[in-house]
Amino acid sequence: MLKVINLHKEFTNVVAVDNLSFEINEGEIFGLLGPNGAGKTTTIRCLLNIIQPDRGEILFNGSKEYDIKNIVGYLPEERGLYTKSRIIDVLLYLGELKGRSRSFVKERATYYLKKLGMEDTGNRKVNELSKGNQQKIQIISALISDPQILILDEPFSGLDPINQELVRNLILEFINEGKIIILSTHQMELAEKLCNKISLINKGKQILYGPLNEIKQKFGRLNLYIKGKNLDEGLKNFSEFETVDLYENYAEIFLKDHFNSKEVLQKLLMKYEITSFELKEPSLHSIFVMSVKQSGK
Amino acid sequence: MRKAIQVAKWEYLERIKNKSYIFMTFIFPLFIFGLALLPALLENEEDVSTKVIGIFEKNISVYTEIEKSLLEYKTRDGQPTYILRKISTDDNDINKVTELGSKLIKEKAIEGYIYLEKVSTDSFIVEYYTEKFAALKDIARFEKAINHVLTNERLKLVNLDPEKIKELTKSISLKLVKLSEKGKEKFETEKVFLGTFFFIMFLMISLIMSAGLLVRSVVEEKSNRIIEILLSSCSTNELMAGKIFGLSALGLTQIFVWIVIAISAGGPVILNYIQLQDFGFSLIYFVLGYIFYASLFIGIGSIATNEQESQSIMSILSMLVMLPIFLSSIIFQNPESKLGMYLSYFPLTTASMMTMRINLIEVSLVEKSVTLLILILSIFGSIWFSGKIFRVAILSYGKIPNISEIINWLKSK
Repeated sequence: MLKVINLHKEFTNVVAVDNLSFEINEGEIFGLLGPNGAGKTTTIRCLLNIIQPDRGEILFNGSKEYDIKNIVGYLPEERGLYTKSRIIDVLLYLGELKGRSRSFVKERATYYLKKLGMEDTGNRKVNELSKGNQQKIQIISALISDPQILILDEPFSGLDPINQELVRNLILEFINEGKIIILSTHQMELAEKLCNKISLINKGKQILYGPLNEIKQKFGRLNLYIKGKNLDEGLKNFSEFETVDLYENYAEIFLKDHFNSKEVLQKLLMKYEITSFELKEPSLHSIFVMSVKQSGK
Repeated sequence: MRKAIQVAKWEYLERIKNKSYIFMTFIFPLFIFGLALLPALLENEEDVSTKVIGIFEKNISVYTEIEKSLLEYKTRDGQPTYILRKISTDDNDINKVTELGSKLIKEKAIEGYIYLEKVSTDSFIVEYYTEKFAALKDIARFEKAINHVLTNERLKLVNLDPEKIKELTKSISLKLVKLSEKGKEKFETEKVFLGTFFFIMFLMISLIMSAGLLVRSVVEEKSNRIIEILLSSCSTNELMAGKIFGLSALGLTQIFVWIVIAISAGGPVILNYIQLQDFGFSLIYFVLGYIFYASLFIGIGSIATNEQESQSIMSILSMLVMLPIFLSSIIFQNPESKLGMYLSYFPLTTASMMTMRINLIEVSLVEKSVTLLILILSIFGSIWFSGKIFRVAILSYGKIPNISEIINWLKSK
């Protein structure tokens, strides 16, 4: 179990991380969510011991005596590798730097290259590969040392659907071994599908935290999902609606506390050709948007 | 420590394959030695065939003496290199002489001709006419021979015996003997100067070269963000130490290769030109100086965020490194100078100044120990300094920091 207690980090005049606490159990995918500049990267860098927090503790299995650098695999948001070096050399270097033996790393490299259909590429240089394949090598490099904890920053950005599926399978295989994944992302749909637990931070403060289903329940209300033909900005003028997320042919609406669904439907039908009207628990996306807005107030 | 060695190993093995490193290590010394040895090779190049040179004399007749004086030059098969052929016309009219001369040159009967006219007792017109650009070597030899003959002529005019004069005006060369604890030592100034100078040049060139590679590698790691992966695997100190080790190993490999090339190419000839009085201490200063500069460079180099910035930083660092070379002339002029002594205590110039001074003059053991201590402390200082900068710089992208930001980095705990 990874336990973060009151993590706090300030830079000149800015509180980057403000008393952040969370815990992640083995076998959990933890979503670290938040808008740009929320403090996600700083939190990750503190976890990786790249920067020192001003206050707070990070415990792994209840102890401070562990070398995070040897048990963590990290995939930064912006990708890059030594482009002029041989793939196998890069993987060996990054694996050995995690304190693993050469033979161990070699075996893992062969396994993953084969699994991702790249077994013949080991001796090629990184810059001879396509963008997508370079991304795959990068993901292998995060897994190469067989880490206990995997930190993934936007793991799917820049991947086509087929490679996204490959990476998703790698993530699930990893989590099935009873390990810990921290997933930092903006893609709420993805977080909703993959994460068991989330922490939503904004301006360094944690504004939501807990298992995903609990958060949705705790949010305690239902959102209105409507489908229809001529949906437009006019929806925002409805007095019953708090916020409206308008898409091509549907809208997710966050309702105010007191409303009568019958009246709302009648009003809508007077103005729009509604084909579907549904009340269900809010999406993570709308929870995210609402919470960030509320925390900003 | 183990991780630092991993980093050093990677840096070393990746950089050693770099094309510009290979070029500088193997081609550059051949180029330098080529340049240095070329004039000597040309000098010793044997003459292949005999050349016929015309000579026209007016109011004087010394061509047999000139020819005799030129006899010292022989072709490969022992024939004289130059044979003089007297040119004359009926009335010795200058135009007619020119006409005849060019005709003979065109017919390839002569290579060119010397025009020698005595205007008064101590005034001569001496000119060499040729159609093509004459070899400098030939010109120099003609000049020497003619000077020799004309000087003798003048001496004879005042009834002096040229042989006697030569004997009486023979110059001496001053031999230097260095008195040291070991007793009397032969001391060949030029060789020691040259040896010391080469030693410092090696240090500087190799440093500039390796530092360039290093700064570029840090910029590459920053721009492709691999630095974040590295830092998730080892500490900044391990990363920096690894880079310093790797860089120093690269530089020392390069110098080792240069020495091997120098000795195998020039052999004992090189050793004849180069002499170090105190090789042991020179080596210690060299290695420590190298590590000092390398650790300083890694901090300064890490603030660059792109290729252009790294180049401007490199040019500043290169100037820093060249400083001792500019200052070296002061020491060569006067190894005892106070400035040289002060500069020995200034870390940036300690290694080079001390290398020069210990080879040229007697430096007390106290001074050696103090400067070595300064150098070692400076290494720790520059590692501290670079560590502070490196730690923040490698994670800041986008723009190069200004001085006040860097001062803030240094203050941060």
